[in-house]
Amino acid sequence: MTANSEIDVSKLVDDHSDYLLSFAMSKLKDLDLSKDLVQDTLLTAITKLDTFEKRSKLRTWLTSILNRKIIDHWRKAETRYSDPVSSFFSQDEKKGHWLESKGGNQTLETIEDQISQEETHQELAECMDKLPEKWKGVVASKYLEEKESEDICKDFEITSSNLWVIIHRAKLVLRDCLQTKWKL
Amino acid sequence: METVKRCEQITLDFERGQFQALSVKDRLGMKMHLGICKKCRRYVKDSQKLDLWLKRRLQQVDESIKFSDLEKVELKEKLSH
Repeated sequence: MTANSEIDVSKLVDDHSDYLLSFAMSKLKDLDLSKDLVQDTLLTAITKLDTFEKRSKLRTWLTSILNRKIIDHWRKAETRYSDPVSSFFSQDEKKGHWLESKGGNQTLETIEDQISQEETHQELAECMDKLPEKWKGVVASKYLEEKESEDICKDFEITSSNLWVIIHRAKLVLRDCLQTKWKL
Repeated sequence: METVKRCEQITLDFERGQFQALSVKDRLGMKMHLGICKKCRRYVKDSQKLDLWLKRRLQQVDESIKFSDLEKVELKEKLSH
């Protein structure tokens, strides 16, 4: 495979672009961003083809490049916050109501009998949009890739206690958001 | 306020326990607190439900998402330069 020849680029796009787009979308849930990152990934792959070790599968290599770009996106998106856990919750905490749910006394599972799995997923996705980008990344790394905590901390340059706090706070945001939607 | 702080610590410990083994003291403290605190029991239940939903939602890959033929042509052109 010679870098940058017309036919190889064409094959690369035909064989892998759709798979990479599905992969990116499963993490980002943002079509335009996913398309951009897939284009960047293919561009990086073409310029760095000489570093590709033939022992691994081309798709695995492409996926690892894309994965790195997704993590970089989340990390960069968060630079506007000085604190990785950010001051997202400080006001609620000062009031001491952080664990008080906005809704009544029903747990989230009570909704399962009332709406479909697709609806649950859709509303969860909408609520996830309320999270800061870096938290989305941390949550995706934990639940999508089921990564070890050391790896997540390394990827996002956070301490392990920041990691637990982020997961804890993210769940509180999601719970509040879902309870409000479902009037639980 | 003390109870609120205790609840925050207990629910945070619960999340920490998903990543690492808790000490006997922390485990016992959590068990005792959950025995008397309805709010924290609800948090634990909701947290477990969210674990399941998040995993299911995030691992779902929609293979119907594809580049259009036109987008592929444009992509090939961009990448060839």
